[in-house]
Amino acid sequence: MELLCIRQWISGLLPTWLSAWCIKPVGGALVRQEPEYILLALMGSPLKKIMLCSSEKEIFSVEEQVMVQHSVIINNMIEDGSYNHEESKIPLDCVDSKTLKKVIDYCTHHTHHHNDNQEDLEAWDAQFLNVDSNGLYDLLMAANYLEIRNLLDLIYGTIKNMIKGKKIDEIRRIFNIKDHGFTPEEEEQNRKEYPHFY
Amino acid sequence: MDRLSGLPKTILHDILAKLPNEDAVKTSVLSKAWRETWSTFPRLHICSSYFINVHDLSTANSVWHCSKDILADYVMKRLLRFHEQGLIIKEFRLCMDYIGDFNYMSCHLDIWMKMICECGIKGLELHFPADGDFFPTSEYCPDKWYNLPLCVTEAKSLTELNLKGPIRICRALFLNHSSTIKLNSLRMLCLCSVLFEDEGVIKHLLSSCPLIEHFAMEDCCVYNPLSRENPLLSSPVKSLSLRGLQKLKRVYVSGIQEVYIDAPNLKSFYYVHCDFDDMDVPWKLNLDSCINLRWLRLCSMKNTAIAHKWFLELFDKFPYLETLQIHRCSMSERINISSSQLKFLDFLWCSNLKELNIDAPNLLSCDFRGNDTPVITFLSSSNKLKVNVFTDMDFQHYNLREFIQNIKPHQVLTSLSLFVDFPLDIELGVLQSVSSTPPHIRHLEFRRAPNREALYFPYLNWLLSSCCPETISFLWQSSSYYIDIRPFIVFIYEMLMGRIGCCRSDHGNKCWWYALKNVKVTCSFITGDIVNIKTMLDAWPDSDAEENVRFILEL
Repeated sequence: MELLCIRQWISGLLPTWLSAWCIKPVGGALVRQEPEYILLALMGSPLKKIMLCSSEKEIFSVEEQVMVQHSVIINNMIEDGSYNHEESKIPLDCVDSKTLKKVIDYCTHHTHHHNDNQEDLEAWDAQFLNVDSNGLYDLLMAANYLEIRNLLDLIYGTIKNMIKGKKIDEIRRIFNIKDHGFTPEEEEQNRKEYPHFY
Repeated sequence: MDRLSGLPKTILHDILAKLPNEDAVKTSVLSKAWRETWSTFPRLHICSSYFINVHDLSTANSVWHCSKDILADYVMKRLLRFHEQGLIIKEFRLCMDYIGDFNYMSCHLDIWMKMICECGIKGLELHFPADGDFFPTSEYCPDKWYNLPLCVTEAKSLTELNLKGPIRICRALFLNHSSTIKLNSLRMLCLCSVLFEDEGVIKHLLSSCPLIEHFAMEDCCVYNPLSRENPLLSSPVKSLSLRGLQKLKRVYVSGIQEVYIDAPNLKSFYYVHCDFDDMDVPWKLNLDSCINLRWLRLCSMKNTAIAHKWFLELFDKFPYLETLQIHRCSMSERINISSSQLKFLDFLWCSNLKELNIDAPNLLSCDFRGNDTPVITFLSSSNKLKVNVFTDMDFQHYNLREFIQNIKPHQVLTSLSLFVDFPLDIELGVLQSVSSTPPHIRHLEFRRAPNREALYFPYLNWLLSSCCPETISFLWQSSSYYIDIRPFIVFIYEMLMGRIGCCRSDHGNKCWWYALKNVKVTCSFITGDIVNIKTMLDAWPDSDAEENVRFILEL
């Protein structure tokens, strides 16, 4: 038994060697134990609303439960009492209105549809991320700032697919890297060292 | 600068962490900005195969002498970057296919270990080639074990330590250990082919990581100068005792005769006895205080059969046990399993088994594979139960029909899936005659086809006179070395549609598949209805992915 496989088994990841041995994976222990992201406990009553203020000073009203479930930052703010329901709005100076609206869409959909089957959710997510690259990076920064784990992982997955298995020239085109910044000698050295990347 | 490269480093490092190593390395030549990001990416994976192809070594040993300098320089350069800037190295994984000049590598390794320990290392993995792999005979020497340096056993930040030998752990590492020097952060410890100076060193190592959660030990040895057989002057670790480890959750042990575990939170235990063919080595397991055990797998317990009584006691000792897997063990002839908690049960390649009685009303799946054909009876079962039988036996030695018919109660058969691997060598047997419709099962799956077309019909005749499946599927990877399964698929299709001659039974009844109304075909690589099976098979993608074709038999 290869130690690499044991490491994967022992840390709770599903090992791929199982299918090579024609052994069907069974048992809870062979399935990923804990989800990557933590679903925060429901706080506050479902209909209570909070106000989020974008960098363009536009105000969005959204259910407290929805944001608290997904965003660690907002959850912390409400938990430690720094947010006052009557008066305050949460200022999000790093997030513009267009992006904030999309983030709220994401959180709302996932809260209300969390019982849907996996395929439907994945299809919705794919549609959700059908944005231009600027929009994608804006979403990424917003998800990072608000600490929304599952949205972050979703976007990471998309970016990962832009890199995985592709040649350098293609990636440069996808990411719009016009000037790679290497001198001609450096670029030649790179091509010699890793010919299979080009 | 493009927007992606301008994102904060932490985000870019998160992205790199999700990429497979090869693709992460790729970003270092993407642009200057990415190279900067890459060089501060705190997870270092170094594989010697990037620098030298070991298969070239037999012809050009001098190539290694240059490459090892390149490897050493590269690692040094990367480590210096972190060291000089006071950055943390989260992971360091080194995988060497070839060591070559042992002293050279050993010196460099010591320096690297010191540097990464000073950089707050969290996950450390060292993977060295086992003796016999890639050591050119002129350089082989039993004394070439890398001594794990002191800094590793004192690295307070270490959370994961993964060693695959030949690595030696000496007593000297623990001489100065007071009670304050502990690897309190260590959560995962995996040791494979590690040599301990003596059994006491194992105890010291274990006592220095009290909060460990995952532990694995495979084929480790103890230095034994008196060992006559083994030129490495070592003998396998005889006994392992894991005591007082409150957080211990998962344990894997292979090649150790006696294991004693006292860990009340232990959830999973995987034990491989040993493949000691020449020694009659009994096994001794004591997990009695691990009452929270949920998952248990036992492999290769051959010398002493697992007794009938052991199973009876098992479920009393571990009332929460949900998964039980017994692989390659010798058993008593008759085994009774009785548990209300058991959900998953596996018996793979066990010998000697003649009768298996299972009383587990909450059982979700039961897998069976082996050369024996025991009588399996489910004394209680739910409708959620799925039974999976794997077979690669040829029809001369394996009465499949009898085996299936012996599975009781018969309603369990409707959940039975039969997975067939065609054996590599087979002789044509006598054609069985079909006397009546065989038992109905849920699913029949093929992963391989017979290697000669002449065998198609006898083989299928044997299979289809043993069972009447609702669905049939074929799994195949076009890039694998397995024989092309497509002609076989066409043959079965034609046979089921009644176009290829069938055997007439003694009573003059036609084979059951003549009564089929339709065979519906679907596949994983084309969506929608399949009209022509031959064009579908021609469109089989040429890739590493395993694709499948499925027939749904409508009676």
